[in-house]
Amino acid sequence: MIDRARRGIEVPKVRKLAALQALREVVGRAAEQNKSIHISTGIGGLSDEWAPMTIAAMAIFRRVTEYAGEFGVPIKYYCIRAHMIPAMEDMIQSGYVKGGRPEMYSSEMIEFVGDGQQRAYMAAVMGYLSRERPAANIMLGAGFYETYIVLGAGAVAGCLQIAGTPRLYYQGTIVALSDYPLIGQELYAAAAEITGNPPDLGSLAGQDYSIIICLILMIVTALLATAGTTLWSKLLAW
Amino acid sequence: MSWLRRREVCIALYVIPALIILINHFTGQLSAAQSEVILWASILATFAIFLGVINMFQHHITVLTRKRPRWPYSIILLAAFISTFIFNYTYPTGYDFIINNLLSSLQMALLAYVGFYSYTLFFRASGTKNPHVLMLLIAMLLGLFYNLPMRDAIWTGWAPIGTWVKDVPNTGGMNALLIGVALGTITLFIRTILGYEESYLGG
Repeated sequence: MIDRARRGIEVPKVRKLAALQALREVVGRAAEQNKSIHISTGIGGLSDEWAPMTIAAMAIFRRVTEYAGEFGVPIKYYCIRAHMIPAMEDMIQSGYVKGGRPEMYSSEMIEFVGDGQQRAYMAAVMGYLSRERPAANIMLGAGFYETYIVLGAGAVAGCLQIAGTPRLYYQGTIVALSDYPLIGQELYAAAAEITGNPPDLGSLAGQDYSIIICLILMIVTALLATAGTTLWSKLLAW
Repeated sequence: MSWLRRREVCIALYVIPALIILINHFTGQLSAAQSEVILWASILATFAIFLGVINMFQHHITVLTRKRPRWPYSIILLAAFISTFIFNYTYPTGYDFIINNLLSSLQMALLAYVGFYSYTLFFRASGTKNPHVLMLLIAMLLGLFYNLPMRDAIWTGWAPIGTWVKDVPNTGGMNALLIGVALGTITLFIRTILGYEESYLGG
């Protein structure tokens, strides 16, 4: 599907995600209010099992930083993984350059709070949200229980919130506490959709076909198990 | 050395170790290479912490020298960092005191926020007109009554309803989400190894 889309044979049309459509509006609102926006890539980094979630979050933040540059909105990013500092510095700086305001970038936009120190991170972000009251709080990536606290503090501070994590435990939290949630795989879909590149959109179509195959397999397995055969369970055990 | 900054080189540095780990996971043939890759990653991650420490000092020294608002907190932070670092190597008793009597207590206090913000979540959800959040709210109430110690004294029907919600719609929904997330992760990985996804490189 990626190859077909790349060659222009079949570029799939994808459903527009509300959170992505709202991104520009959210940054624009921050500019009107003369306030900053807070972004978070979650607790994960690029060298652990949460890397795919972090990568998906970074793909979306790339666009957010461009909007911030376009509208002249300051960004604040608290960093919990030291190796994320250069990548996020480069991303935010490039975003302001692409948006036409390179002079707005400051190294103070990124603040390190301790490698893997979740409580220090929570304290820093809660303090920032309650003091500065940014216009928006965007939390994407691998969320742990700081999701409760940061989104809760953001709700109390009156921030417009976009949140998304594929981690199952926090789906209810992000639906209830954010204005534009990205539940389950939507974060990955959003990361592909935001670029608008045909190969990325093709990968989404491929993912949908995989889901259809999974569904067919599940139904066949359930029917065969009901009929009493153990063939599928043996195959799946392999 | 400008070739080192080429995007292709950076992508290769990410993709080759990822492929080594992936191939070893399914074949077991590259275990030595995998161990080496993981060791290199650990060494790089350790050095990356220096970047973090430099960033932290730069930020707080700027706050202090320019007398930004709340600058006294930067003195506390730097003093805490330096004293903990020195005690760790010179005076272990002092280090243990800091960890057990200061840090642990402060961390426990922060944990309590989870409880408070759970109520924020509940009240925020109760004021919404979104039907999905209404479903979440009903499920939360069912879960709440299901876990009450005195639930059977209130009504004996809570137990079978709660068990059904937990075992049937909850398990089904979670499994469906899990399949979607797993396929999403695989798709992202495929995009990454093909070089289409490069957001991890920064701007």
